[in-house]
Amino acid sequence: MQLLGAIVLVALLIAAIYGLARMSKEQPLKAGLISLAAIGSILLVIRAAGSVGAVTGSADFERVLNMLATTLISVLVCIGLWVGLNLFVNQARRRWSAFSSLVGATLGASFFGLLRGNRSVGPLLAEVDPIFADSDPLLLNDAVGTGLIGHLEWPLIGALLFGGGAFVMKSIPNRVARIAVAIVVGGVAGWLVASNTRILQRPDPNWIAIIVATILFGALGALVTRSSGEPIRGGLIGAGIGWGVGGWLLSPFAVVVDVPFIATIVPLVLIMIGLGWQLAPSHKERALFDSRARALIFVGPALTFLLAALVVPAIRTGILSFQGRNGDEFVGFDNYQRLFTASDSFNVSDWASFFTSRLFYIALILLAIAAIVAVVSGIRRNGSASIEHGPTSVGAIVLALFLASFAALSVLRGTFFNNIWWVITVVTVATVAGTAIAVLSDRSQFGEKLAKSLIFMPMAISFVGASIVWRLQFQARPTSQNQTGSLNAAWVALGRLSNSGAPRIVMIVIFAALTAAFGWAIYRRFRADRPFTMLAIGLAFCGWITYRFIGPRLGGFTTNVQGELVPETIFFLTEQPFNNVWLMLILIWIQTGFAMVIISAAIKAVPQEFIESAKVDGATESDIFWRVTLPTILPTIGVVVTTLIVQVTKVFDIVAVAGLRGTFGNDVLANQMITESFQIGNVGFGASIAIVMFLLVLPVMVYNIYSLQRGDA
Amino acid sequence: MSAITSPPGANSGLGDRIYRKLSDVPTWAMWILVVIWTIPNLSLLVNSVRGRDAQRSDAFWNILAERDATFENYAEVLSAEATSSLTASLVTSLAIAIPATIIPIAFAAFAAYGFAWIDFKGRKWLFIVTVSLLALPLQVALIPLLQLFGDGTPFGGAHLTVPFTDKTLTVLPLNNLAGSTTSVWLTHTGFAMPFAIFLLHNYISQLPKDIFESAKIDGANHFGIFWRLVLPLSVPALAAFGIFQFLWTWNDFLVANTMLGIGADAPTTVRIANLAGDFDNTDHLLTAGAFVQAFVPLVVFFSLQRYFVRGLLAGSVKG
Repeated sequence: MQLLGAIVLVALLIAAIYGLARMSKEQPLKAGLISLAAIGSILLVIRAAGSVGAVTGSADFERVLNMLATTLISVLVCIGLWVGLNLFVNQARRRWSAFSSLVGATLGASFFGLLRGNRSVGPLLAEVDPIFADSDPLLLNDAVGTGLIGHLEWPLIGALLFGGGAFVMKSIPNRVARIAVAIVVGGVAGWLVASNTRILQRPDPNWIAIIVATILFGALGALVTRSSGEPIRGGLIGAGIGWGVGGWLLSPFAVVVDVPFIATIVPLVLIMIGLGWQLAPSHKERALFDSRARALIFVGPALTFLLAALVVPAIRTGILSFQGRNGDEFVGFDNYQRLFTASDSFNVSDWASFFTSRLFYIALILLAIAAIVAVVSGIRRNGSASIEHGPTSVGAIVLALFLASFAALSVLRGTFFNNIWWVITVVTVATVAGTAIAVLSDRSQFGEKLAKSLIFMPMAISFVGASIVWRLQFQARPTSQNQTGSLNAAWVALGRLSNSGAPRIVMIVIFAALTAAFGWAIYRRFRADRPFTMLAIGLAFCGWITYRFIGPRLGGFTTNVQGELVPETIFFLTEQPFNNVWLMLILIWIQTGFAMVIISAAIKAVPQEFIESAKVDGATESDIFWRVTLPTILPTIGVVVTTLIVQVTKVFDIVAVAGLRGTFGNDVLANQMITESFQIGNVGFGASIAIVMFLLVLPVMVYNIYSLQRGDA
Repeated sequence: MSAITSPPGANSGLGDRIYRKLSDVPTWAMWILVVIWTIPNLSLLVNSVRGRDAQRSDAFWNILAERDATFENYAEVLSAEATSSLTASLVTSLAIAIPATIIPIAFAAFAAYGFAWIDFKGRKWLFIVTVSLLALPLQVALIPLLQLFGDGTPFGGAHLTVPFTDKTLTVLPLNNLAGSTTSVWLTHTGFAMPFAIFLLHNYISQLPKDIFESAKIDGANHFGIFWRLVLPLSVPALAAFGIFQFLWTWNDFLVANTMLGIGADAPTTVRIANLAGDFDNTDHLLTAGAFVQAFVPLVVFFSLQRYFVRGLLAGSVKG
């Protein structure tokens, strides 16, 4: 029945709008009827099909149809209301009386509906209170009370009273007659409200408040409308509103014998007289009104959603963050103090390990290499002992800094450091990998589209799906069983391989040959003065594997006390602190595709002439990338980096699903916020974490505003 | 043939052949990366057609030796009766994603046109505020939204406590929305606004000015121009945003997990995340479940990739 009611409502609405749209054209009735029939039949078909679903016993099928119907209704209502609003405003220029009656009806209905909804007035027709007798205060449930009419009684009367009043007033040219009508309408409405006001909500008039508010609001109204030359109208309306505010909001409720006529009739009459003071605004005023109303109609709905879903909740969260567990007492900065002093937020007890970590030494070595390369290339180019930074030295310095921060963050523990670690690692690796793939695929002869699609595919999968995918890789089982996780299975297999006789020799030979081949290719390329970074990486990789096979062995194995060789697995998700890194891998896997797509488009947009002229000047491909392409796409990389920073700061799903809810020293702010607010139930503390997250991305927001104002976003 | 393609002076010794192959290292490196990127997806797909015992005994590549592909995981996940059925969840996900895609498109298109072509006071300032909300973490809005839709004390809905008085007005009672899909798609609609307006504004503001001028001379008002000219012209941008938003809402976990319960008809992401917490019993169904969950976005993604990429490029900052 609920659905049927909605169907009827929507059908009527659509029909009305369509009829209105055709009003100025021929045969409005026919058009209205056709649209009514069309919409009605669509919804009935859906409903009938829903019954078929019920007969076949498939609840899901029924739900699908209901869902489609609900969606359709919501969309039609939204579009219909919006189109209707526009058509109403269209009427404003030509038929002011029709327009003002519609406005009057809408305002009257909302006013009486608001009173009824707040239980200021009792029911008019029903014996029980239909709004709060059941749990469904919306209009569509007719299970209790007198049904639709019982729910709509007050809004309907409001619409009829004020709509009709407005129409009559705007049709009478005589001002005295209009004022008479206004007094009648306002008086009737005020009497209705006053005589139905519930006993508990009858105001005890506070005369001082009423007089002050009336004068204040009246003056304000006159001031506002002074520019359009109608201060009396504005003054009357303002005075009415002021009287209402003083009589209702500023006066205490008291169970008094008197029925509150003074507080309702006077303001309503005042407002109605104000509205009826003028017959219709001038043509110029109507044009101004049209453009203002149009801006509101176009931008208003979106801004309403923004306000309701983002702005107001954000402000409320800010307030909540200064309140206690249940958000009912003011606790000052306690939540923030707790957040910043807790040992699981910042834990620096292990800082000394930084200087013994391998990564730190590798970073030092890289810095040394960078210095040597810079000096050597300076000598080669200029013939003197100057420093010349090229791709190799800059790359080594960046890598060294990255590794050093990585090392630092692996010894500094806690939620905040984890978050910083996530941001640095994911943003750097995803951007670099995305750029590399974009460049390489741009150069590749074939399969560019396929390669990009495959790299990009994780973007389409949910974070939860990606977490499931990677759980499959990270799984670790007791060493007595076969490993089912891909990585551990491969790792243990590699361990077997590097500890068995003949296959091990074969591997050594293969990788030694590869190492030699890479070394030789580098030698050839170096002589030809051509780029060899990728070859160097290949050389390093193959050489390292050869060394591991010959020397300390490779893979998941260990020798137990009996001297037997047993498999050893990596507990990717629980071994601290590097379980963080394995989770970051998931996000890198997802976001590299994003970085690649954006950067790839930027590379394709680099003007071909730049590259051609660089080639004419004898630049190598490497030179072109470092000196032409990279500087050109730098702004785009900036966009990718800022976007990723925001994204990674908010990482939640991966830690919650793959990261075992952050219980193994891998918690991050977003997950901690959800755990605190919705599982532990400490709303105030959760709100303070959310606010800190907001403050962390605030610089990016400011940067966005800045670049928007510069007009280059 | 080889005389034509190989550079002059190149001999065809073994060393040179190796050298030429190794010169292509960048291309290989890319394909190696592509393979690494694809293996996780492949392992999911392969494991989803292996039975419970097979999945629990060894890693996915052993299917080559076992040759025992079966679809029983899919049958169980998709049958309405099974305890680990996903069908109800799929419906719930659709019930969220479809309205959460269509309704923001409409609202954002109105607003984008308003910001681009209607002159009103404070337009630029409002637009900047709107777009800067892109970076706002959604966590900041979650608790109050849950209270808005919630049925706790006093009860859900929008209440306004008038300053300097002791009176509270209920503007909108919403306490029947707690735990409903409506609350989720309403939330998504609000959250989508900054990105949608930004993306559509980028497109609509670039439309040639002449068409607006000539339409105005013909006596069309803003509504007519929007309805007859702008809307048909911006279909590519609307599609781009639509796809983006559909994937975003279908794949969302944060909002759905916060607003809805964890029952059998929870959205797919929530349901799968919960199955993942239930080790051993349903672990073997996760692969098929995750694939079913990803199937819809993958189809959308591969069939409409062009629009999706366009959406990404147009506004690469999504909150």
